[in-house]
Amino acid sequence: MPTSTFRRQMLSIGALAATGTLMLSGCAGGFDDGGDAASGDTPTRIVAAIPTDPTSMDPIKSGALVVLSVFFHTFDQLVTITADGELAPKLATEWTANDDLTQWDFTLQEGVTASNGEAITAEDVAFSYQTILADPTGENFAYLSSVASVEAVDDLTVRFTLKSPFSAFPRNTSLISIVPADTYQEMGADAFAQAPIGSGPYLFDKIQTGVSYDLVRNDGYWGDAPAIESISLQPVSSDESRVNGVLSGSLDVAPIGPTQVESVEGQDSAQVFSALSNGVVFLGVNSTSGVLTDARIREAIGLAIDKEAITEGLLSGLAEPAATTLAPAVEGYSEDVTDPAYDPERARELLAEAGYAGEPIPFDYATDGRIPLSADVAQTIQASLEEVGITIDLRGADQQAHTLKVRGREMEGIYLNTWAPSTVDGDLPLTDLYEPAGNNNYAQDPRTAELAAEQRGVEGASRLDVFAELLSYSNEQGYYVPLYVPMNNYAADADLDWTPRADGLFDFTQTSFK
Amino acid sequence: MTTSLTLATAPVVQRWRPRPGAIVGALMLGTVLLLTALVPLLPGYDPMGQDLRAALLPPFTDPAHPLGTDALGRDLLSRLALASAVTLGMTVLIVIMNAVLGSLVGILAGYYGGRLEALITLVSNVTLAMPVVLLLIAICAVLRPSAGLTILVLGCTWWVGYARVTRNIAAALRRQDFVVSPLTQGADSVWVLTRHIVPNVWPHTLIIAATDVATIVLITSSLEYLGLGVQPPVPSWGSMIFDGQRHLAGDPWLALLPGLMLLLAVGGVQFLSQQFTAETRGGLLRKGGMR
Amino acid sequence: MLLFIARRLALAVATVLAVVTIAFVLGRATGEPGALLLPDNATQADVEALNSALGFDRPLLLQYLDTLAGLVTGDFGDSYRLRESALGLVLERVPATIELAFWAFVIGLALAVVAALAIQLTGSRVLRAIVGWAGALRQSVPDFFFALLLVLAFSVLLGALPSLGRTSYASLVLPVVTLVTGQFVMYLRLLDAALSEQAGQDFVRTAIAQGQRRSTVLFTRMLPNAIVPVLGMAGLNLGGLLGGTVVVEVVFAWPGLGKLLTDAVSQRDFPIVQAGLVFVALAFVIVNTAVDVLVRRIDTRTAAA
Repeated sequence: MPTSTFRRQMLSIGALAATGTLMLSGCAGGFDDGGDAASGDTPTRIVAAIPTDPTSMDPIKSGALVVLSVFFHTFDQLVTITADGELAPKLATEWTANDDLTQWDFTLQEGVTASNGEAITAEDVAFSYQTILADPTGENFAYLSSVASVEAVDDLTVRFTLKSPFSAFPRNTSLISIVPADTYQEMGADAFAQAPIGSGPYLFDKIQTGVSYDLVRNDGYWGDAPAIESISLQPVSSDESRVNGVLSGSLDVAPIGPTQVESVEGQDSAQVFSALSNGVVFLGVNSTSGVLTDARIREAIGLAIDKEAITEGLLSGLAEPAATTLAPAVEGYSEDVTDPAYDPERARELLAEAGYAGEPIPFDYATDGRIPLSADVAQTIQASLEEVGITIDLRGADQQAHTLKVRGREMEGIYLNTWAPSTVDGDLPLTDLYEPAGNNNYAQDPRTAELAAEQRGVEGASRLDVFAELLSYSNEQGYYVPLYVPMNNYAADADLDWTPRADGLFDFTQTSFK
Repeated sequence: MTTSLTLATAPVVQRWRPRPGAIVGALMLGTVLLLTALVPLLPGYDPMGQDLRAALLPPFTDPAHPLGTDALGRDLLSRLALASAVTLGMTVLIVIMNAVLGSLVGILAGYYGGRLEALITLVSNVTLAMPVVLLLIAICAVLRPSAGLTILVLGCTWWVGYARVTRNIAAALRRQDFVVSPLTQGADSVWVLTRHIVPNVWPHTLIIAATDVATIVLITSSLEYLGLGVQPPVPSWGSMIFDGQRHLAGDPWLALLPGLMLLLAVGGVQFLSQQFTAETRGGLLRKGGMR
Repeated sequence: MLLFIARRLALAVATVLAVVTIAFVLGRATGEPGALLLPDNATQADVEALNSALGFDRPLLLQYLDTLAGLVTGDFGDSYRLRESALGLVLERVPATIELAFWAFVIGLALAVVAALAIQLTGSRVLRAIVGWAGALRQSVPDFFFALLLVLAFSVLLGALPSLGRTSYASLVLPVVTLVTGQFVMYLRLLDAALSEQAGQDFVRTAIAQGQRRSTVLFTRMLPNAIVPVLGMAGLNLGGLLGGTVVVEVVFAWPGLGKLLTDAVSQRDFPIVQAGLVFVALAFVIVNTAVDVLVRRIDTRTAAA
């Protein structure tokens, strides 16, 4: 039997361990202030869920799209893209180009100051852009790949000199945030990321990486004061948690998946916003691999898929069938571009003509991540293709592995992919789909490369014509099989008065509660 | 000496007294097994056929689909049967792999001792210190996720419990006269191992395996839930629950039915295994089982 | 004794080294993260430049040695995605996980003791049967499913408790309940077995024959004996509990280490993965070594007694 000394020792060790653990868990700190989202007479605080964690809060280094949901509030960009996809002035009041679209001048707003008082002039704009251009490994670099140089002509004018004509250039500037140059250089990039200073309508109140990004209204803002006093953006990766958050009141607005819309619509405490997104879900095709080199087989694949069954049945009407790889909201979209309707009989004929003998075609898809219900969509497509006699080798991987394969141009057959340009303009997707360096471009067709480059040198109606020609040609060749344009769906507090953006990012500067 | 050896190391199942728990357990597990075996023989069996217009049918509304359909219009009864076969099949394979691997390693460690034992202790420590879920996620990121990969990884990381017990037994047996004397007389180690060590060890392995089945089913289904495991369109309990949770508010049966099957299977195995561990519980609680 | 401790420590160090090596090999095998850190329209050249800047084109051996060096100095580098010290991020999240593990452990153990004592004192077979069956049912369901049911019942239908995040004491309830029920069942089984074994011992019968009250014997003699093996088991389990909170953290968006690690593995954020795995391995190894030493101590003492 244990002696009493021993028992005392055991007890003291136990007590020590317990206290230690309690202290350690106490280090977890006070609770996050998620708390009551909407309370009081007219609530003035919005708690919004974002699907992934933004990277750092330094806008020079950080460019992953989700972080823009934060930066749109705390920093100024030269221009902004409105909810219906149009360009509008923000820091710049107007912009002009020279005749061959290689030089762009932006005129800035007067009297803009950052929240610490530093004046924002063309110098700061030039600094922000130059710093990004100096680091080819940076996340924002790719948006400025067309820029040869940027300079401050005078206090209120910034001039961009481009390497080649680019008519849609101003749209790219909507993604680049301006930092106060002196403050940024004094603090250094790392310190700046911990305590960022911007000139936007909101200030950073508290940053808890991976947990919440809290903003408060900047009363010294040069523009119109927003109605909402404070915003908290919280990364919540699970679909279910986001829905439960809105229904239970912990969140005011959160992106949700198409299958959850029905359950939210029935509730009094919440409403649903659905709007066509700026993206298209499509099948990429490696037209140089195996049986896919035969254009008839590629055509058969397109004919065998019943897009309406997918959008109406699987996605509950929360998507529209797509005829091209650009969504209607995107500049460059044309209704004239069509693709053949669902016709499984014709698909079988084509397969027989091409002498298809049942060779399995690999079909890669990501099991989670960017495309909601991607696994269901992939299985439905597999079933449709097998229905007309095509053998499919279905291969799923996690989103990151899938992305790495896409970027490395390693696909061996068809694959599920999506493209949603944050500039709401067709130029970005075209580079990736049709230009020689594009990751999705297996065909390497010189005609598509030529047309893709051509659209940059023209504006307006002639530009739309180039797009239409390119996209029609792509459909004829079966280089891609456009599937559908998904809607962005949100669950929100019943009293929220808000218009969602096509790109799925948050901008609450025009938002209020009823 | 020999008498006390037999008594201490062999499980005592003297009288077959079925406890109420065991009966319930047998019924639960039996239901699952019957479903798995019989449903594929039915005429309407079709776990893969899709019909988007007949999606999300509730159970008991359509005679063609007794338990309803899923989001792609596939028959749930058929998919449940196939999922049971898949999850249970994977579990059995994993448990067998671990039992064989762990017992072998444990016997060798206990029998030979010394540096071999030290090495095995290191390997088992590393195995325990490494979170299996993360390991599997990483491996599946390199090679595509598949049932085979999951079976392989789980089959090689859950053996430590077996090794510990069998090592103690083998080490104790090693010192016994009936092992030492043949060896000094020139008998072959392999002969001693197969003739004396293994027969005394495998009943214990069996008991651990019986209780392990429940644990492994839960782990396997958690991995399936995370998307690692058998790949679509082949169903499994965990992946069906994952797919079904999206519809929890409107069509709860999609997640609840596979959950129920899980409960019946795991609960059934647990209650049944209690029947066999009851008598030897006291013996196993003591370290080494040799007092 | 000292030799024993020294050997255990050597084992601990070797274990951590092995874990780091496995993490390194797997990490490198899953591909270079450059493409994941740049937008869709970045070119191959951009991606390769970034990978080079992150040090992925150096010889593998050098990268490995770098990792080992980092292990010794405690510098695992900065997270690729969050650009903060990887170790810092890991340590930031650990207390939240420990919070869950701690409360689940304490409450689970306490409830198990209460229940086991109640069963012994009342001698009620009905009580034992009820608790036994309820426990078995709970053990038959995976944590993620139980958690989902709890959320459905208490958060969505009743609106009584928060369903995600770490916002208040109320938000602790559902995640802890999910874990507690599992722990409770396990400790109850052990305690019940241990106490029942005690009840059959001679010294108990003698004490009662001498007129001592059953409850006195229970508290002063049986319980202390019974609790020792349970504590040993609990110690080991605490280490395992830290790993077992992952699923619960994901379902409840609880900002803990488990979730940080699974996210990091998915996103190929190696510095966090390495820092996190080392931390988990260290924790496991420390707890295990401590328990081993304690148990050894108990053994030598009881052998001597």
